[in-house]
Amino acid sequence: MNIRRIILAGVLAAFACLAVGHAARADALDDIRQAKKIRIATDLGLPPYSMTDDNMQPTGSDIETARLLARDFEVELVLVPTIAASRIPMLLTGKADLVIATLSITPDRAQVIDFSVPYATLRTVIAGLRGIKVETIADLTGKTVGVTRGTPNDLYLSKTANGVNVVRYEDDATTAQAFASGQVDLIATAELLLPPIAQKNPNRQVEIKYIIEAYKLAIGVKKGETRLLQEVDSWVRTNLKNGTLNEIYKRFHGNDLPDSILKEGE
Amino acid sequence: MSYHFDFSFLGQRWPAFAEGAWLTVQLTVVAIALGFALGTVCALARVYAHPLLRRLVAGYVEAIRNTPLLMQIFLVYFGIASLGLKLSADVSAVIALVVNMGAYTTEIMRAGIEAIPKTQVEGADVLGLSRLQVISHIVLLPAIERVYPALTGQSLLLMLASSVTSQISAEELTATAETVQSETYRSFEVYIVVALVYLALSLIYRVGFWAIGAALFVRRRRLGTLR
Amino acid sequence: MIQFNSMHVFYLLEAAKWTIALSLIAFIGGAMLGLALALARVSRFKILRLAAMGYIQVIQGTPLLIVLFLSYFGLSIVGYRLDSLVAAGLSLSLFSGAFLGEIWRGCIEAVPRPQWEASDCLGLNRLQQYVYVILPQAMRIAIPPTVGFMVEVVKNTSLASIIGFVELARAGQIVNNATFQPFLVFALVGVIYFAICYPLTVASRRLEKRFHVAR
Repeated sequence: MNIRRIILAGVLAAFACLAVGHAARADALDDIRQAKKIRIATDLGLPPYSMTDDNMQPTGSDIETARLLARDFEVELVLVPTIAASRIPMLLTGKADLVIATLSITPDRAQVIDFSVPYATLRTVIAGLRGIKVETIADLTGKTVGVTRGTPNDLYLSKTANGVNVVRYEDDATTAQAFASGQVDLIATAELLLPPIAQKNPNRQVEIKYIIEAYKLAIGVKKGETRLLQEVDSWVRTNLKNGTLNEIYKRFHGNDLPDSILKEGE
Repeated sequence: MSYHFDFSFLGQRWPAFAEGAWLTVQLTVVAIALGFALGTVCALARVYAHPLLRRLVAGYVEAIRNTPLLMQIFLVYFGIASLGLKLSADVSAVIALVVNMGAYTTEIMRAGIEAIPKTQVEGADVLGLSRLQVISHIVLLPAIERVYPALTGQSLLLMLASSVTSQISAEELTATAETVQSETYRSFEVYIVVALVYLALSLIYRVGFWAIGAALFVRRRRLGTLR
Repeated sequence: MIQFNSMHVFYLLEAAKWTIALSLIAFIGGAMLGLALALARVSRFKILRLAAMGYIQVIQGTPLLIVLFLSYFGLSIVGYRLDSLVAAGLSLSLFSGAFLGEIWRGCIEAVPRPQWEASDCLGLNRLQQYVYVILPQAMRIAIPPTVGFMVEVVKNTSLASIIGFVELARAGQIVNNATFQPFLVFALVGVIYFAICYPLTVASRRLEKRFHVAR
C-alpha cells in the first residue's frame, strides 16, 4: 500500500509543480521588468555581428546592440545561444524575449513573428574559391553550394536555383568551416562573414561572386507582445536618431548605416 | 498553454520526411553491416591474435567508446578534409558510424566468442575440422546467436545515433526535421512527427532483426535451446 | 589565422567543467526518474507497469537529439523560464531516466526470489521489503552498469551543444571557428572527453570484478 501512496504522491507533486510553473500569463514586458532580466537570442558565429573576441567573450555589433538595449531597459542581459534555424522557434516557444541575431525581414517570417523597426543591414552573397566562374544564379546549376539551414539563402538556393546541390549546415560558422576545410568550394552567406574567412585561410582564396540581396535586419519579437514591441521600436528610433546605433555599426563594420535605415530614426 | 498545435504542414511536406527516413535507413543498414564485419574481425583479433595486435584493437575500442560520436563525426568530416581528403557528408557519416559500430561490436562479439566453451573447440579439432571451419561454424555462429539480443540493441542505438550526422549536412531524418521546421516555424509539431517516424523505424528494425535471427539460427529453432 | 595557443586549451578545459556539471545534473535527475520508473516497472499495479514501460519504450526508440529538441522547446511552451543549464540538464534527465530505469529494473529483478519470500515471512510490509532487503541488494548489483552508464551520460552532453549550450563540444566548435584547425581541435576535445570517461569505464570494470568475486 505504501509504495503505491508514495508513487501517487510523487506524481501529484510533479503535476503540482508543473501547474505552479505555468502561472498567470502576464505579458512579456511585465515579466522582463519583474525578473529584471531580458533574454536575447543570438548566434555567436557571425562576425562582425556576433562573435567571440580574443578572450572568448561575446562581442560584435549585434551583441553591443543587445547590451545597450538591456542597459537602457534597466534590466540584466541574458544571452541565449541559438542557431539560425532556431531563432524563430526561440520566440515562439518563449525561450527568448527578443532575437538580435542578424534576423532579416522577410514576408514569411513576418507572418509568424513581429519585427521591430530595422536597426542594421546585411547583404547576402554567393562566394567561393577564386577561379570558379559564377556570375549569375544560372551558373550555379550542377555545382555544390554550402549554406546555413533556415536562412533566406537556404530558401533562395532550394527554391529559386535549379539543379544546385545544396549542402546545409546548422550555423554560419559551420558553413564557413566547410569552406575552409575544403568540403565545399562555394557558399551562400552574409557578405561580412567573408573577411574573417579570408583572413584565417590564406591558402583558400575566397571572393564574392555576386550579391544575392540586401536585407534589413530587425529585432524579433513574439507576435502579440505589443507593449514590448512598442518599447523596442521607440528604443530603436531613439538610438538611430541620436547616432548610437550607427556608431556601434561603424565600430564593427567600418562604414555607416545606409540612409534607408537611418531615416527611420527621424 | 498559449501554444496552438498545427500539423497541417504534413499534407505537403510528407515526401521530405520519407526521403529523410530513407537516407537514415540506407546509412544505418550499411553502417550496421560493415560495422558488424569490422567488429567481428577485431573481436577475433582480440581473442586469437598476437599480443601487440590485441592491444591495438583494445586501444581502438577504448578510444571510440570513451569519446562522443559527434566529435568522431566532426573529425572525419572536417578534420580529414582539412588534411586534403574531401569526403562527402554521406561517406563521412558512414565511415564514422562504421568505426563507432565496430568498436561496440568488438566488445559484444568478444564476449560471445569467449563464452564458447573450450570443449567445443577441442571437440571440433578432434573431429578434424580445419581452423577456418572451427572458427566459422563452432565459434562464430554460436557466438552470434548468443549475443544476438545485444547486437540488435546496439544496431538500434546506431540507427538512433545516426541523427547526429545531420550536423555535417547529411540530409537524413533529423536534418529534414530541421529544414521543415525552419520553413514552417512549427518546430514542436515537426519534432513530434519525426519522433514518431523514428519510433516506427525502431519497430521495423526490431522486426527485421528478429526475422534475420529466425532465418539464421535454424538450429536453435529446431532444437529449442543452444546447448 | 589565430594560432592555436594555450588560451584556447584553457577555454576548452573551462568548458569541460560545464560538461561535468551538466553530466551531474543529468545523472542526478535521471537517477530520480530512473528509480521511479524501475519501481513502477515492478509494481503490482498494471497501470504503473504499462505507463513506465510506455515511457521507456518511447524514449529508447527516439534519438537523443530529438528528445532534447522536444523537451527544450516543450518546457518553455508549458511556461517554464529556465536557464540553459537547467533546461539542458532536465532534457538529458528525461533521457537518462529511461535507460537507468531499465538497468535498475533488471537489477531489482536479479535479486533472488527467496529474498522476497523470506522478508514476507518476517512480516515486513512492501515498503520495508524494498528499503531494508531488496534495494540494498539491487544497488550492489546495479553499481557496475550504472557507473558504465555514466560514461554515456557524459558523452550525451555533447549533444547539448546543438541546442546552444556551451559545453566542451560547442567550445571545440567555437575554438575551431577561431583557428580553423579542425583536426587539432577536435582531436584535443576527444582527448579531454577520454580523460573524463575512461576512468569511469575502468572503475565500472573493477567494480564488476569485485562484485563477482564477492559473490
